[in-house]
Amino acid sequence: MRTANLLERVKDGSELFARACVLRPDIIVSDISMPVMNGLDVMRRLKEYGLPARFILLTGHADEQLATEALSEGAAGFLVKPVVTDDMREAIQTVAKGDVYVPSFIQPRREIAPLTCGLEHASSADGRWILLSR
Amino acid sequence: MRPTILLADDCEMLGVAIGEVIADRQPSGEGEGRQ
Repeated sequence: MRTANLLERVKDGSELFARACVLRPDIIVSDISMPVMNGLDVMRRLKEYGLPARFILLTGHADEQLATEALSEGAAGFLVKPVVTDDMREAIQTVAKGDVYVPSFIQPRREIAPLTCGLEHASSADGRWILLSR
Repeated sequence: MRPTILLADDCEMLGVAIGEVIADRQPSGEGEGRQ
């Protein structure tokens, strides 16, 4: 049984914005670093546009500041590349349930307090990620 | 009901990970190259 249905794959931020408006996916999995418009900017614009899709953002660096910024602006998940399949599956399943998927290098702080307030924390056995469950 | 996903990136590694999730396959070479 499949975990999710992939609607389409795009290669830059402008194309992502346009196709997301048409396809209206449940979840957008996007690299932050992309040509034309980065993933964070696309997320901001799509939220302004009113698209209810949940975002899982990815980057090549375990940058706590960037991850905190993404989550505080409404991303539902953050992954560091290279992404292994189990992490991707866990992130998609977590976000699809309405929970937030956060890597373990981020400690919940004041900046993302609105996001973490009242949520229960659970860590994976190997400590790679933290699940914030509503 | 399965969630629908729109993928945006130009990284083959991510495409492989997504592909395995979509197909619900067991990953091959899991953990290789992880930083």
